[in-house]
Formats: sequence, structure tokens, C-alpha cells
Amino acid sequence: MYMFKYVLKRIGLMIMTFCIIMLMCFVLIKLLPIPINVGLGVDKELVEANLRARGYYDPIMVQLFSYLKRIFTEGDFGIGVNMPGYVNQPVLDAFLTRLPPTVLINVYATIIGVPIGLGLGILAALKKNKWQDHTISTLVILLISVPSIVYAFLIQYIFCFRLQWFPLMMETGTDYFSWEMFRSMLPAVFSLCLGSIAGYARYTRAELTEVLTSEFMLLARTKGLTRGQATVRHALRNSMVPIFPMILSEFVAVLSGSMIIENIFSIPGVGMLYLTSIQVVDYDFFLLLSGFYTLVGLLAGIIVDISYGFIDPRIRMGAK
Amino acid sequence: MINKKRIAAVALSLCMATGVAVLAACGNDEQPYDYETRARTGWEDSKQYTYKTYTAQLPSVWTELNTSDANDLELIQYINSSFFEFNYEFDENGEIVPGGFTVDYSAATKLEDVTKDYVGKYGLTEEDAKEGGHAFAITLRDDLEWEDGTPITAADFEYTMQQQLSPNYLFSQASNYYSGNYIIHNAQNYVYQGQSGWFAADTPYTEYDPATLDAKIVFTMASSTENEEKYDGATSSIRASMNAGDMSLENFVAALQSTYSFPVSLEQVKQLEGKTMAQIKADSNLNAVWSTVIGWWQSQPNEELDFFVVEYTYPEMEWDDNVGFFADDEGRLVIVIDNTIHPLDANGDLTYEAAYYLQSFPLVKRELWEKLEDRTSTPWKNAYNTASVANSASWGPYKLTNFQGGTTYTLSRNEKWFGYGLEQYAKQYQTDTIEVRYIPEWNTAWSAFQQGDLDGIGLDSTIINEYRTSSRAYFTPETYTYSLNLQSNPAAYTKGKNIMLKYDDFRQALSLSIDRNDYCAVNEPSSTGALGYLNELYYYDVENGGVYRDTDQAREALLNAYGATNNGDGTWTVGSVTYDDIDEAVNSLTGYNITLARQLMQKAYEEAKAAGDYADGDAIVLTIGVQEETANQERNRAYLENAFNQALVGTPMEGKLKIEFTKTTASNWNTDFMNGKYDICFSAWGSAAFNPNYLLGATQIWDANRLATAWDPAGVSVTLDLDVELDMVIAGTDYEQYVNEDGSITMDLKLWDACLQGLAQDDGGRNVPFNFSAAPTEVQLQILAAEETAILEQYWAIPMFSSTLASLISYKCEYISYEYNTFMGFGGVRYMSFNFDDTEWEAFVQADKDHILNYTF
Repeated sequence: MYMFKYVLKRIGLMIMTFCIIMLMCFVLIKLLPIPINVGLGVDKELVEANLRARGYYDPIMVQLFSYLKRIFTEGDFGIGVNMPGYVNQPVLDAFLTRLPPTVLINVYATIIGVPIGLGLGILAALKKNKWQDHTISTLVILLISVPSIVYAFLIQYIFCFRLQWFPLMMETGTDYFSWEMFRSMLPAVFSLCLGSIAGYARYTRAELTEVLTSEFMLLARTKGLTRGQATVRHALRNSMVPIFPMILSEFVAVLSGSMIIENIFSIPGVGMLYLTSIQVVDYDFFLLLSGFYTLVGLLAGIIVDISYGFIDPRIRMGAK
Repeated sequence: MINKKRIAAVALSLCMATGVAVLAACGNDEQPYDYETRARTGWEDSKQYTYKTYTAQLPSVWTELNTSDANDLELIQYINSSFFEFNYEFDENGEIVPGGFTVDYSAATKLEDVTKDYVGKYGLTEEDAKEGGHAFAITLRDDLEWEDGTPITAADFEYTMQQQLSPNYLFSQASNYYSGNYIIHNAQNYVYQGQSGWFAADTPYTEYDPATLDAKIVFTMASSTENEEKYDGATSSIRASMNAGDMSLENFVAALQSTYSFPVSLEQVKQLEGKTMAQIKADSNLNAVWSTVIGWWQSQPNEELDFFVVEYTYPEMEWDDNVGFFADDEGRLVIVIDNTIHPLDANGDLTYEAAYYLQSFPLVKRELWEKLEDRTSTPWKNAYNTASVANSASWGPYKLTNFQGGTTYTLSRNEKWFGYGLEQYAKQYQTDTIEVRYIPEWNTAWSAFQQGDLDGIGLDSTIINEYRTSSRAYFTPETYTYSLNLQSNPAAYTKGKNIMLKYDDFRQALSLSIDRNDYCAVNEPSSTGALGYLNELYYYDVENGGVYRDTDQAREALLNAYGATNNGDGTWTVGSVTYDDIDEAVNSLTGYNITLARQLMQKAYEEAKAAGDYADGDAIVLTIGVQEETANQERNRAYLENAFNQALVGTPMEGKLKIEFTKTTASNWNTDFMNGKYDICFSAWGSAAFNPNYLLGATQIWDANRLATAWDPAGVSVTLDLDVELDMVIAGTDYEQYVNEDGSITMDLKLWDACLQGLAQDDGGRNVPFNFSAAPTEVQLQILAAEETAILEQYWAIPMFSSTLASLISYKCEYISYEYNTFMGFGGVRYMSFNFDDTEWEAFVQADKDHILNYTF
């Protein structure tokens, strides 16, 4: 019951926060000058008349009302005005079309990165100060130190261009679950997850090392558990309390897509859209994407908090 | 233990480094490839040929009604047809005549001047009938059809133009038909019909009639933002005339006072704000202020309207019998225009204007258009030719067969196209499929090209020197000339920073400190240095191949602007060298004259010091606007900073100049610059290669497009002694005031521009005294060159380089010619031939030992 109330309260706060952020985004973007770039021979007054008919010159609160009305009555999030490649196209359609590749690549990166990262971290912790630990630590430092753009270029050059094990770019089409599509996503997936692997490994090693030296681990061994049993049943579970939220937050962070990775591997994802929407001042794209990322961030916060309770039953949010 | 750790780290690093080095060292083939260059076989060839290319930005809307950019046009060219089209001129041996062209019928079979048939209608008079060139009938082929076999008639074009000009859609491209090269009768009134609201008074009204207007027109000099609530953001045209942007009323009045000696205070202007003319005239105090204002401004009738806005509703208008675009009773497409064009010569043959002005008109498939029409929004929306194959229709040689947003699109042969089977297209259109892949990252595209997955790529500056001599390299000159713009807005000047920019000598010295050839070698390796605003691609006489830049007038313009001396005996002195003829003198120009630059800097220093704008020890800090600070931008910044400082050597300002970056955005870089946010920006103007008079005027003289907001071309007088009869005067104008005693003519730049272009009014709304658009070529050249000289000598926009694109074409395909032709480019897909079909090409790539093709040969 405590948990239920706590979740309800958090959802309420989330909705309020979301509304405040979106209101700020709406007002701030509308305060920017309306970009009107007309070429030679184009009637600027006609362009302005078009924008005026769309309500661009109405008072901001009137625009906000119209915007919300359109969304809630027609599901219309507007159309692109300046967004390259999406001018005069519904922004929601464009966004939904581009979301799957971003989500898939990040899901794959998480699926591949988490077990490898945790595995390396566990191995390093169990073999602390042995050559395995040193090798893994060196690798981790190397991977953390180098930005993902460098991995991306190296992976593309070595495995896609020279060795030609993978295509240079993501396959075309929307058959996202075919083998060819999966194979074409792997270079981007590896580029994205190498840094995460290093992060998971380092964090897991640190947490597990600490837990392994705890007194309760000694107690578990003296109770007759093997080292493996004690590690899996007690040490790992305890060390997961801070690691699991980290995995979630990492997933959320990469959900926004990586502009650079998407560019390099020609992935039709959402990474570029947000930045471009700000650069070209495309209101409708900006607001939809702001709303999406705000919502994802807020939801992630709630999920991370709730996840503590599932990982460690001793933790009960909202309990007095 | 420590040793083991070190050993592990070193071993790992060595493994990685070795791996990369080994892979990098994998050599390409050392010998050129052995393959056969095949002759064109055209659309008759039964093998499969795919042309693969890429784009950094996919198209949004591939219909002319609402196209947004060049990426849209790239697709449109394949799915549309032309009524009249340019073609190569071939000699009797079938060889291309360099620089030559012909104009052929394509989707049309006949073009007639029918001006006399419409006298009394569409505003045409007997005088127009005598003149001709106002109305044309285009007879279409009778076998035109859409990709699904639906026939196309002239009525479809009329329907489409109705959509193009529909007030329900308010397409910005509608203005192509009333403010472009020709003005379709009533096109503007049709699209504006029903528009109700506040407008600059001189928009709906061209004449000031006190009796009817005094009670309606309202005085305002405030900005659009300030007028948002009162007048829906409408502003009076005085602001547009002075290129004030959204500058506040206070700043605007201050700028007018400092730059143009505006004789009225801000308080007095505020007293006039919001008053109708009737109210002003009724109040003696207000009337006195108004008299001062209009006395300061007016040089032509009706200029009172420049200070007022008016609430107005454009009247409703029926299409039939009003708009000069319709299908006639004989099934021909008729266009009636307010100006004149000459697409037919005296023999009735097509001139270049047929392919230039009347190449095509927009066309939509009516059934699909109406199906996709969304009338629920304001303005209406239509998804025609956007986002998917289902929304698309073609009547060109190719049709869209695949479109995936953000990824790719594919065009395949449209078997219904009328051209397949025609003799005039024999051995052409060999390409069966065109695949365009979205690749935003150039390095990825370059890798794909080397792997044989792309058939063409533009060369990046990092590899251009390695590949520029490749047998597969070709170079595409562009009309675009990039200029270095300097801040002119006095409100943006700060002592100790950028105030030196206000001095003409300082700006000229900056210009003379840059060797354009050296600049290009360092910063723009594939481009060529530019000294004028119009490059070698601008024709003043298209039919006879007359290139403006090759004329003596244009050459003299450059020599005069860059400090050369005409010795009067046919020789010219540039710097310390005297050249026997003008060609040599012009060829020696690089824009660089450091001696003169330093002299000018010294003069600027003395003038600024005397005026209190510069004190010894002051820094000169100029800001350059960039969207991001890349290595290329830094190289460019450092180059300019070094060059400018060289011009300061030996003066008290030596070593004092710095250039710093300022952030701007892709959408607001120009307004940021015009509003004084930064001091230096690069901009380029191009296109309109057959109309240099228009391009120079529209981009450098008209307020709407000029970046030097505080420079007024109407304040620059130019005197020319023209070898022309004064029967080119416009009746009813006060032309005598411009004619000097010796017969020469003195006018300001805006008037010269309007006269040269044959406009009724100049950019400031003044009536134009002469029409030189039909003057002899030599006279037009003289005026154009004088305009260019005068603009260059202001040094607000300093030409730097003309863009040339360096590209590679794959071994798979060939252009018909690698010599650029202004009219045909390199022949495009139309004339492309293939050395390999798709299967053979795959085998060719696989035969390479690394499957990576070498293009250095």
C-alpha cells in the first residue's frame, strides 16, 4: 500500500513536472524570432501570410491553446516547416518512423553490453589483483578514455571497410528483425556499447569487490555455502542495488540516440532530429521531441526508484 | 605483478596498433584497371543498369507547387517532363560543339505567340499586341500520360495552376508566377484574394488619393513585433526600404538620424504613431511634423504611402477570364503575362527563353491530389508527392518505386513516358534504375564509393589533392560566388572593437590584403578566386554565347575596383607592373595589393583617430559568425586574421587586429548579421545565369537581400555617358533631372538597376525614368559593369571565391562529356552510358583483391 501510494504520488509529480517543462519549452521556443528565409523571387508577404494563417503570429497563449486543442482533438502534432527532409510532413509520422531504429540499436546495445560488462566486472572482482583483473582494468580504462566516435570510425574502417564483415551502413527497409538488418546494425551497436561495457565492468568490479569483503559473506561461507553459491546468492544481489539503476539510466540516456553514431552508420534514427529542430527552429518538431525526451526521463526516474524495491526487498519507498 | 600489468597493457596496445597498421597498409592495386569504355546504348539496351548515388538530405516534397529545396528538385527532374528543353549542339560528326546548345520541343509540339488574339482581355492592349511576347499558346503532345496510363491534357495544367495559386493553400512557390521572370496576369491578385488584414499602404494601393485614403491609412514606423497587436505585425514600407528588419522604433529612428540625417525626433515620431492621415492633417502640430518627414523623404509622387499601413481586404476573384493561365478551346495551354518574354525568334524557332522560362509548369494528378487534400486545417494541407510511393505520380522518364523516409528512395524507368521510342531520345536514358541513399557522413559515402556501392561522390577537401588528377575526376563550376560581408550597422559599432569597419579605406585595405588564389589554395582547394560578383557562367547574350566576365566592360570593372590604373593608351598598371593589354592586366589580378592596403590602413587610422574612433593601443576585434567551430573554420579565421594584420604592418594599428568566433544558427545567421550580432560573414549568391542584370541588382542592390543594411545604394551616384538615344525614357516621368548638360546621365544605383531591368519602379518605389532593358547590348554591359564597380568600391561585400565542385565518377558509368556545359551540365542521366551492367560491375569489384577500388589513376 505504501508502494502504491508512493507510485501514485510520483506519477502525479511527474505529470506536473512534465507540464511545467513543456510550458517552458513552448514559451521559450515561441519567443525566438520566426525564421523566414526566402530566396530570390519569393514573396515574403505570402510566406508570412501562410505562417499567419497557421497562427504563428497569434499571442503565445493563444498558440498554446490551439496547439493543445489540435493534439487532444485531432491527434495533430503539427507539420514540419523548416525541418530538412520533413517539410510539410506530419511531425508525429516522421518521429514514429524514425524511432524504431534508435530503440532497436539501443536495446541491442544494452542486451549485448550488460552481460559482457557485468561478466567482465564479476571476473575482475573475483580475480582481483590477478592478471585477469589487470587486463580487464586496462581494457576498461582504454574503452572509457576513448570517445565513442573513435570506436565508430575504427569499427567502420576495420570491420566494414577493410574486412567487409559488416555493411558500412544500416540496411534499407523496415524489416527490422531480419538477419541482414541485425547484421547491419551491429557496427553501430558495438560502437554504442563499448563505452557502456567499460562502465558496467568498472562499476560491477568496484561494488562486488566491496561486497565480497563484507562480513556477511564470511558468514555465508561459514554456513557452508560454496564460494560460487555465496557470490551468486548474496554478493551479486547486493551489488546489483546500485548497478541496476545505472543500467536503466544508461538505457534511457542512449534512447535519445547518438547523433554521431547515427550519422556515421546512416541510421534513420531520431538522434539528429532534436538538434536539427533547434537549429532550424521547427516548432512542432521541437515540441514533440522535447515532450518525448522529457517524458522518457521522468518515467525513467520513477522506474529506477521503484526498481530498488524489487532488487532489494528491504527497500520500501514511501514507507514510514 | 607490476611487470605483468605493464606487459598486459603494452601487449594489448601493440596488438591494436599492429592490427590497425596492418589493415591500413593493405595496399590497393598499383595498376590502372583494364576495362572497356563502351558506347551509349540507350533505353533500348535489355541489360540492367543501376545508377547509385547518395544525398546528405532526402527530399521532402517532390512537386513544384511546394518544393522546399534542391533535394526536392533533384527528384522532381526525374518524374517530370519538359515542354521545351536544352540539348547539346552536335556537329556533323556527332561531336559536341563546345559551349553550344539547341532548344528542342519535348512534351510540347508547338509554341505560338498569340498576344493579338487576346487584346481586350487579361489586360492586353493593342499596344501589347504590336509588341508581342505577352501571350503564348503551347500545344501539348497527344500521348502524354501518367505512369498508370491516365492521359494528361492542357486542362490538367490549368487545374494545377489553380492549386498553385490557391488562396486556400498559400504556397510560397506561387510567387514564382508573379514575382519571377514573368508575371502571369492576375496571379498575385488570385492568391491574395480574401486576404484581410493590415498591409503596408503601398501594397494594395499604388496611388495616394487623399480623398479616399486619408481616413484609412495609419502612420507607423514601428517594428513588426511592436505592431503585432495593433496591426497584425504589419509595418510601413519605409522600414523595408531602409532594411530595418525588426529593429525597435527607438533604434530605427536613431539609425535614420545618424545615417540619413532624419530631421524629426523620436518623440515627434511617437506623436504621429497610430494617427490616420486625416488626423495628422487636422492637427497643425502633427501636420508640421509630417511635412518635415515627407519633405525629407519624398522624391516621387505617392511616397506618402511609405509611412502608413492600411486595413484592406483583397477582393474575391474568379479564375476564369481573370487569371492568364488556361486551356483554350483547341486544347492548347495558354499563358498571358504582364511583362514580355521572347521564347520565339523572328523565324518562329525556339530561343533559349523557351527552355529557360517555359520549360515546364507544375502538374499534379488530379485524382490523387484531391484524395490527399486535407481541408480541415488552415491553410489546407496536401500530402501529394510526399513521404511515400502511394502519394506519388510521375509523368517523366522515371517513376518513384521506393521511398523510405530518412533512408533511401529508388526511381525506376517509367514505361509510359512518351520519350521512350522517340528518335530524338535514341541512345539515351540507358539507366534503368536510380538508387539514392541517404548518407549524412561524407567518410561513409567515400568508403561506399570505393567499395563500388556508389557511382559518384563529391571530393572532400582532405583528399582533393590526391584525387584531382584522377582520370575519374571532373569539376563542376557553379554560379555561386562567395563574398566576405562586413558589418555596416552603425548601432553595432564599438570603439576598441569593430568601429574601424565604418571607414571605407579600412574596408578596402581588408579587401586588398587577401590574395584570392592563395586563399582558395589554403581554404577552398576546389574553388577559384573571385574578384567580381558574377563569375564566368553569366551570359549577357545567351544565343551568341556572350559571357559577361569576358567583356571589356566587366574587365575594366575589376581593374577599377582593385586599384589598377588605366594609362589611357590601352595599357594598364597593376601594382608596379604595366600590362600591354587589358587581358593580361585582368589575369594578373589576385585582389592582393599589400602596398596599397597599408597606405589605406594608414589613412583610415588617421581619419579614425581624428574622429575619436581610434586611440593608439586600441584593439580591433572582429567577430565572425559560425554555427560550429570546426577545424576548417579555424583555418579560415586564422588565414583572415593573418592577412588583415599584414595590411596593418607599419601602421600604429600593427598587430592589433583579432578575429573571434561568435555563434550563430543555420536559420538566423543572416538576420543575426544584419542586426549587428557579429561583424564578418560569408554568403553566396548564384543561379539566374542568363540574367546577370537581375542577379546583381536583386542580390547587391535590393534591400530585401542585401546584407549591408546600413549602406543605401540610393545614396551612390553613378554617371554614365551612354551611347543611346533618349527615346528610352518612360513617358510621364521627370527624366530630364537625370540628364546632364553633356548628355551623360547621373542616377543612383537603385535607379540604374531598375532602368537596366526594365522595371516600372525601383526598389524604393520610385518611378523609373528610363527603360534600358531593350538597349543595345553594349549599353547594357556598360551599365551592368558600372553597377558592379560601384558596389565593389563600397567594400561591404568582398568577393572571395566562386564555388567549383570536384567529384569522382565510378568506373561503372560515363558522362557524355567531362567538359562542363552551362545548359547541359555533363549530360546527366539522360546521356549517361555504362561500362558495366549491374552483374558485371559486381564481378569487377569482387575481382579487386581487396574489393576496394582505387581511384587515384
